Parts: sequence; C-alpha cells; structure tokens
Amino acid sequence: MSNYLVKRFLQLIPVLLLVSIFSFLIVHFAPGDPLNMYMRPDMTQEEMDTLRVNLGLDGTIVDQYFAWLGNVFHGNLGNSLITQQPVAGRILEVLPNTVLLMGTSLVLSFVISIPLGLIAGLKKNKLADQLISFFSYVGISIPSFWFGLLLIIVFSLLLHLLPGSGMHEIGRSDLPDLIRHLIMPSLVLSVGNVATFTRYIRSNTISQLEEEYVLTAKSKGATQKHILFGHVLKNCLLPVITLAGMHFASLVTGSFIVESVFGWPGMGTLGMSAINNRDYPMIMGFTMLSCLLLIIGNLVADLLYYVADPRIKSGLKEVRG
Amino acid sequence: MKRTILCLALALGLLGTTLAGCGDQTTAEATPAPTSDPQESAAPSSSGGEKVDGGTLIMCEPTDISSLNILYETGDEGMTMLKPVYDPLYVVAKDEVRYYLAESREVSEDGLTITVTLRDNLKWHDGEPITTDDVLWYFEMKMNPDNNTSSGTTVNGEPVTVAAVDERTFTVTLPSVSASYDATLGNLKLLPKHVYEDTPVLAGAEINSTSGVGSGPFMVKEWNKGESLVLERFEDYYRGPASLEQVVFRIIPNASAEEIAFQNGELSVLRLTTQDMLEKYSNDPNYSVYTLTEGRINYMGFNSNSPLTSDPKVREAICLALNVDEIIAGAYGSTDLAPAAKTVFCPSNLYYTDVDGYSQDLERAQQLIAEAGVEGETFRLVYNSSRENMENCALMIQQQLRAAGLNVEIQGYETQGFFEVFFYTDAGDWELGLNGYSTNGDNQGDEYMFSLEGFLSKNICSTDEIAALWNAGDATTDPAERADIYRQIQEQIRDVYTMFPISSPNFVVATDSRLKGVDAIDMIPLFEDYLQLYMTN
Repeated sequence: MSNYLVKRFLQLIPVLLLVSIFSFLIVHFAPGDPLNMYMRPDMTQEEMDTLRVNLGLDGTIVDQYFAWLGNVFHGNLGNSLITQQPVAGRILEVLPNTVLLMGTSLVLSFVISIPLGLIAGLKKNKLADQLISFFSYVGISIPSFWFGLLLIIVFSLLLHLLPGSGMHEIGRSDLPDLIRHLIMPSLVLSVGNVATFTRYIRSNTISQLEEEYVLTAKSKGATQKHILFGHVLKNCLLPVITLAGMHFASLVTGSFIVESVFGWPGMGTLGMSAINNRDYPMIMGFTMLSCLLLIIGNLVADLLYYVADPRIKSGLKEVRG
Repeated sequence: MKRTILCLALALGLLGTTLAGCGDQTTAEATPAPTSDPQESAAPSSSGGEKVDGGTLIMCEPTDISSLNILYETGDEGMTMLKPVYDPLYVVAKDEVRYYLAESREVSEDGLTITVTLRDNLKWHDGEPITTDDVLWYFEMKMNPDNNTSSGTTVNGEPVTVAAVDERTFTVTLPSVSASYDATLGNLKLLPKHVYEDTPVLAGAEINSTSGVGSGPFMVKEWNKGESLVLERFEDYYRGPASLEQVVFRIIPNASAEEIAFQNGELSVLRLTTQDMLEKYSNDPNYSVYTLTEGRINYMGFNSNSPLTSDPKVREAICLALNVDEIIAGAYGSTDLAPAAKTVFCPSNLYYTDVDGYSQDLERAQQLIAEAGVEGETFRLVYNSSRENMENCALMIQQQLRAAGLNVEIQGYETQGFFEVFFYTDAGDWELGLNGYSTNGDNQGDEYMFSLEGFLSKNICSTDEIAALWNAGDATTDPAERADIYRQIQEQIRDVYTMFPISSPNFVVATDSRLKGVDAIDMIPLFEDYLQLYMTN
C-alpha cells in the first residue's frame, strides 16, 4: 500500500509540470497584456519598461516560466500582477468561502441522490422511478445560471424569503444569516450533481440487484432493507466514490457561473477576475491548485475504492504475491 | 396513461414556474428601498417627500476594488467605489471650477506656476489635520519610480516642482506650459502622510488594503472583499456631514442578478442600458429615471496599418456609406440612451465647437469604393464584446457597408483581448474597430487617443499637423486660442477620416424615487459630490 502511495505521488510530479507548462503557454498566448491595467496616457516608454521589469514581465516566456517555477519550488506562488499581493494569501482568503459553498453543495448532493438513486433502482419502471428520472433529466438539462436567476426571482423577489446575493447582510456575520445566503447557491449547484449522481446510483442499484449474491441473500431469508443497505449500497457507492473524487477539485475551484449569479465571493469570482485582468500568477496559482486537487481527489477515490471493495484489496495482494 | 398524465402535469408545472419567473416583476409590491435587508424594505413614496437625515445608498459594481488606496484603483470600480472616500483638490468643469479640499487656486500669467490654498480645518478620517506636508510627501511618493504611479507629477516628461508656502498654501511649478495640468492637479486625491510615510514602497504594500484613511464625506467602515464595501458618514467632514448615513457598494457580477436586486430593494441605483429597461422604469412611479451626461464618445476607428484603410479614399467612402442615426436606432433603440456624435469631442469638454459631421451619401461612397478598387473586398471589424451595444453597432455597420458594396467580417473580443488587438499590435490584420473613450473636462485628455504622438497611436490614422495642434493646445493658456486649436483638431480629424463618431451615450439610471440630488452634478463617474444626495420620506 505504501509503495502504491509513493508511486502515485511520484506520478504527480510530471503531471503537474506538464499542466504548468501548458497553462503557462495558454495564458501567455491569450491576447492581452497585464501591463494594460497600469497604462496611463502620460506614461513614457521608459516608465512602461520599468514597470514591465518590476512586474517580472520583461524576459522571454521561457525565462518567465522558469522564474515562476523557481518561486514555486520555494513555496511561493508569486504576487498578483494587479494587487501585487501574494497569490497564496489571496487564494487562502477566499478559499473558505468556496469550500463552504461547494462542500455544502456536495454533501447535499450525496445526501439527496443516494436515497433517490436507491429508490429509483429498487422501484425500476414504477411511478417513483419515473418521477425521480423525470426530475433527474430536468436537473441535468437545466442551465445553472437560469435556475439561479429563477430561484432569486421566486424566493427573493416574490416571496422575500431569502437574500438574492452575497454571503452576509451588511453589518451581519452570524451563522443564521450565512445559512440563509447559502441556501440558494448550494441548491443550484446541487441540482446538477443530484441528477447525475442519482442516475449513476440508480443504474448501479439495478445491476447490483440482479447479482447472484442478492439472490443468495434473498434465499437465506434476508430482508429487503438488509439486502439494500447491507450489501447493495456498499457496491453502489463505488461509482459515487469516483464522482466524489472528480468533484473534489471543485471544492476549491468553485463555480464561475453560480458565484457570479449569486455574488458569492469565492474562487470562481477570483478566477474570473484574474482571467479578465490577465493576472498570470493568479491564474497559474488557481490552475495548479485545481490540478493538484483533481489528482489528489482521484487518488483519494482510488484509496476509498480499496476500502470499499475487498476485491481490490485482494487483487492488489495477488499482484504483489 | 397515468404516467403520461403525470409527466404532462409536471412539465406544465415547470413551465408555469418558468413563466412566473420571467414575468415583469416591476409591481407596486416590488419595492425598492435603501436598506440592506429585502425583508425590511418598505414601499417608497412616489416622489416629492420631505428630506430626511440618514438613510443608506446601496450601489453595485460587477467587480471589486483590489485595495483601499485610490492611487492604485484606476479602473471604473475604483473610481466609483472610492470616490466618496477621497476628495480631489478641485474640479475644472466646463463652466466652473468646483472646489473641494482647495479653497482657491491661481495660475500665474506665464502659466508656469499654480498656487493652491487648502481650506482651513481640513481633517483626515482619523482626525489628523490635512496640511501642505501631506501634499509635499504625496508628490515625493508619486515621483518614486518604485511606486508605479507618477501620473500628475510630470509635464512633457519633466518633473514638476512642488513647494510649501505655509501650512495651507503650496505652489506647483511646471517645467513648461501645460494648460491641461491645472485640471490634472485639481483631480489629485491626496493621501495621509502620517499613515503611509513609514512604508518605503507603496506599490504592493499591505497597508493599501488595510488603511483607507481619506478626506471625503464618507469613511471606510467595512470591506468584505469580493462582497461589499461599507462606508459611513464622516461627521467631521470639512463641508459638514453628509445627509446620507451610509453608502454601500455591493459586488454583483451578473447583470440580471443586479436588476433583480434593484427590483428587490437591495440596490438604490440601477444603470439602464437598453430601451426596454428605460421604458419599464420610466413608467413606474416607484422609480425615478435620471439622464446624466457620460462625457463619452463611442466611435469606429480605422487602422492605418491595414493596406485597405490606409487609403484615405476608402476611409472617406466608409464614412459616407454609414448612417449614424440608423446605427443608433438599431443598436440602442433610440437617442434617449445614445445621442449621435459628430466629432471627436463632446459638449461636456471645456472646448467644443458644433462642427459639421459626416452625412450619408451612398452614391458618392460607391463611387469612391470603385475608384479605390476595393469593391467586394472584405473588411475585418473588431469590437469589445464586453461593452454594451457594441455588437449591435457592429452588425448595423456590417449591414450598411454591405449596401455600399463592402463585405464586413465582425470579430468580438473581451476587453483585454480587444485592447491588445486595437491598440497594442500593429499587424494591420483588421480594418475597422469599435471603441469608446471618456472625454469629460479638458480636451487635451484625448490627445493620447488621436495624436501620432499619443499613447495609443500604433494604428491611428493621423497627421503630423494634427499632432502639432495637440501640442499647441496644451502650450497656451489663452482660452480663446485653445478653443480655436481644438476646433481645428475637430475639423482635421474629420477631414483625414481618423474615426467615424457614432454616439455620445448618456448615463441613464433608475433610482429609488426617495433618493434625491442624483442629477445635482451632471458628471460621471457617479457621484462627484455625495453631499448633494439625500433621502426623502
């Protein structure tokens, strides 16, 4: 197991390097220059050159990349070209907001989709399945910005039940206020996830219920509840673990669209602003963090597979043995 | 069958919800109120209530500021959000000079020395006095190249000299005459020396995000990064405290969410950008609609580096092929939002002459196109897709030029990409470009856009004569002479077909009808003087 972990971590290095190279090239080749943010009508060419040097934008793209990489190896993601403040500091400032939003949405997604998926699988082609499938298709098809605006109109504008944007009312920072602001964006983010997860769990439940071990359990007189929660659920969780791993990165990257609609001050908003301003170090910091988390998410998913499915554990032993 | 009925019922229910959500929400119940909590919103009076002390003005910006130091906030959001926090010395407007921190200013006869006297009893938000010490330190700090902020400290590349006469009076001596420097100096927003002097380099310093000590009628109470900036009334303000108690800026990146927030009373002001919005809010007694002069020119520029548009005959043909009224009607809906522009300046400039613009003459345009041998050629039109109505303008131009026998391929870019293409690369791979610029106040401010010696001149179709006129305009302080020079610039830019002026858009806003004083100073960015704003009951 430890060898496996070491191997996986070693694999991280070339992947991250490749991602950093491609990301660096893409952001630098996009039209636009971060220096534009500083341009003033009375600026001389000399001043512009000085500014370019001060911001570290004077060398070739290769020089700039290695300068950035050198900083990263020293644990420094560089300074934002716009605020000139450390990138890591700014990311850490907004990260909790995004983790809160995305984490709530992810938990909500699992809490809702697991029972729905199991029910739909168990009641295959029955009314309950039809209803759940209908809402799943709606959830998958619905654009998040549209659904977000719809919720704001209904719950904020018409019913005055929930605030339409931001994280807090002005002058308040208490938990109930935060929860009120969290409800709509997390719901919007959950809808797509719930729909997708439910479909996965449903189809897996159906296939698991057709397995021989279910028949054996039935023949031994096990109750449906015991079969479902004692045996089937565990096997159904395998694809969910994969999905969770894939969504792990979204915990920190946030959602550009939903954060924008709800004015949520998270990583999505930060990332969008960085892209608009061509804030290269911020974009790189954002991209690398997302990539790292995506890889770690997949690794964690693999490890959870290992825990959830004894066959994988024994498979690994067989390979080794 | 049951299932089919059920599915149909669900689908209808969903459709109903959708339609309910998309309906017009501007009803008497959708009450805007300047409070932070929509549930506490109370119905505003239609108009004409009595002035009340207090109240909160809530506005919105799509992006947040990156610091509380106005020195480093040169974008629209910074200019708007930090305006109530930092007062300028004075504002040189078309027909008057409005004094803020300065009590008076005097320009010497030779135009080389400006003497400014600060008002008595000025205070920073932390209670410390504002003196000429702050002014001297401010110039010194700006002249430090490490601070990346030298604007306003040089004239024609040479530094100005600042000296204190006493605690309230200082002089600025220019190395050469620059008539526009008066306005530049007046617009400087001082910073408190005692707060920043221990920070050797301000660029990138953390104190920029934590201090926010200014001189304006409102001081920073709370900055929730990415979410809101809360300002509260400064009771010791030198012109007396403001009527409003708080000014709040909320960050809402999405325009639809912004309008819903306005309808829900979470915002006090909403910019109207379409004819539909204008009609909707104009007809609702809960809102007041104000039309302010934006002091902006939207135009189509020609690329001098393209073989096609480097030919003046082609540029002339294009100018004659276009009908600006039709472009405005198609792109904006009416001239309420965007009156037609005729020239490089607008009436809110210090010097403006009502010169003749271009008139459509399709026959002559086609004749010129034939003479230039460009019939059927494809012209590439680039525009900033992040700007409201630009795409519609591009489509209208494409359609009109097709009628003249030219093909136009349109290409939108987001802001940064557009600037790169339009200003900073000289590849000559586009012919026409839609852009806009602010042109309030001194005309000389537009030099960087339209002079060969300007800051953004890589692609400009201009002449040495026009460049010389720009220089002459700044080198004399005689108003009559300056007026004549800027008239010549207007005419020459028209005659060499540098640009095709399209509109001089208005800044139209809908507000909670209880908010008054919105149009007291007809200038953008909103609002120059927050003391003019008040709530009514």
